[in-house]
Amino acid sequence: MSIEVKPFINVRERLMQLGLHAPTGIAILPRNLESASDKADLLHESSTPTLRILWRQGSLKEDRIEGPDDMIPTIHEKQATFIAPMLFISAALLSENPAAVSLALNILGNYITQVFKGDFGSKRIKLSIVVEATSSSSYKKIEYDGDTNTLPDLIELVREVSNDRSREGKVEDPRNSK
Amino acid sequence: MIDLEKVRSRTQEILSEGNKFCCLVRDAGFQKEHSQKLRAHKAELSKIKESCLDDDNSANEILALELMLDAQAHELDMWVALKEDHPADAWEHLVSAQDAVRGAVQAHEVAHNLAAYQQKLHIAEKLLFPPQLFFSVSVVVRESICSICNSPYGECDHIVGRPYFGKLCSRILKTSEVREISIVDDPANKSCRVLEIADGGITRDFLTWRPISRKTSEGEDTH
Repeated sequence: MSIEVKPFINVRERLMQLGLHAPTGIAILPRNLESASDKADLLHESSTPTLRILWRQGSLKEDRIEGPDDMIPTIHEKQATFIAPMLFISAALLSENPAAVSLALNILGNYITQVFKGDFGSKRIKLSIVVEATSSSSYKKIEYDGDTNTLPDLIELVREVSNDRSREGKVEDPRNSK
Repeated sequence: MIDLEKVRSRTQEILSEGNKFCCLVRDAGFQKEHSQKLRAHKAELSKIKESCLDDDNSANEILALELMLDAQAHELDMWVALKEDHPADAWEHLVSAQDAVRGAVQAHEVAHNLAAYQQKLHIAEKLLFPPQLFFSVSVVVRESICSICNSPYGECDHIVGRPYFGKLCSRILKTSEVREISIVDDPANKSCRVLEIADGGITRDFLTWRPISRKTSEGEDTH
């Protein structure tokens, strides 16, 4: 199991450069946002449409990067590992509506539990959350790779990263450092 | 009006009866006979399910029971295939049994207590078959629809893997392209595996290690 905090590109600038909307709330980012040569190369994780349904059912409003005419395809990899969509959480949302962030991450957590219901053996997941830091206007990516049973306290982790309280590199589950 | 309690107990009775044939040394004749019995009962359940499609919970419970019957039938077929020296068929039956159990657990809580059975199938996989090489296919999907309502997937409220009116929702790919194929240890689909391997100039069946002979264009046998 590993949790790592890494520097991330300026999401706002990158999305505008690609002709996409820069979100001010919570959004789902394409997996290859950093490396895509243009908008047509972008790919969402296969789990993206499902998470969008669940957020919609939970009355959570996503600030989508795609306009009504943009269609980003999804990539499906036939592996047992579940790859969650890459989330974006703005500093403004975290300070003004932390309940929405909790709701979004809880819905994701419940979805992951449901995905593995009835599975025997490995329950490995990979998930990434890009967080806008409050003070420095920089962006950091939290990456988790491990079992569903050791999924960290994502909400606390997002808060720590947003407030620049978490260093880059491998980090602990916030629950263990209390 | 369906007597669901009766359906449930009759299914459990058939499954308990079949359980005694679920091991290698039982006579293949009994195993085949019971596999047919399970499939016949499943066909009966399918008819019952058709009559209660407006009752989501009952239809989903029957779906779970159907999948439990399926799992045991495939397990019995696996034992028969092994005894008849058809290991590739045995593998497919094992994978189908595992998939059916997973589907049953997803379909309804009536199948909540299958953990021990899942473990049995997992042990059978590790004990009876050699370690396998699996393929994972990466596919870029531009258009997909929901198997429940045929709407573009994501526009309706159905969630892949969840049961609705006796059917598990799946995503039907309409426009897609294969991006890459890679070898993985832990695939989503265990049927997607290496079948043959070249070993010192000899092509061997990956499960049995037997050389595979092929006819050349001249009709000559070669390894």
